[in-house]
Amino acid sequence: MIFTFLKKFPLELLAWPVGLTGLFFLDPAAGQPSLCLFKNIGIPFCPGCGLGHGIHFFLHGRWLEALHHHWLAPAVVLILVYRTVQLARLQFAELKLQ
Amino acid sequence: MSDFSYAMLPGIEQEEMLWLQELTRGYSSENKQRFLALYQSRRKDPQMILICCLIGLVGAAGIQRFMLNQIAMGILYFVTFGFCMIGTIIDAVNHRRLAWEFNKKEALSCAALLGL
Repeated sequence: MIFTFLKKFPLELLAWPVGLTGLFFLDPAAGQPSLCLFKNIGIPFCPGCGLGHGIHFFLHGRWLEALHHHWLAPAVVLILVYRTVQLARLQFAELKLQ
Repeated sequence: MSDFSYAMLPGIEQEEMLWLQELTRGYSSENKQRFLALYQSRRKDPQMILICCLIGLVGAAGIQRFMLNQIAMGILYFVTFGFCMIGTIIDAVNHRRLAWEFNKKEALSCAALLGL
């Protein structure tokens, strides 16, 4: 039963909003933990470095700092929000059918 | 063309099969065959999506998103190593749902293309 539940579970629909809210509250200046898997296992570089900080600053309305940390940060936020809305609409349509 | 023709599609699940049977319920046998031929060519195998996700753990990430016509997400995955691998792992767990989301859309567009 737990497996059928997991199969129906909208994992992606949860992952993006949770990630974005997590980054909203994690302040990089205060030295709070990083979400990055690479950093946590000790790999020092990845092309996404600075993206978390960028998203944090973008969500707080500090556009220039966001762009300075990672030039893709605004695009990432917009695309993730778009994808979340798309998934939510699909999920809603599915719920209505049942 | 029997009701079981959909069972030969690779990696098909009960849910998808029932959904397709429901979609093609009113079709004539010939139309069903035409629909199946078209759908088969456009459908993505969930296993293929999983393999592309796993390639993302060792090489270029985001191939699965490009395959599913999500170009913007694909570029993000590619540039950020699949959101520091977290996104890739989520996609690997979620590969069936991703494929089904795409296939459902394709099935509807196939039906529309055939004018059924």
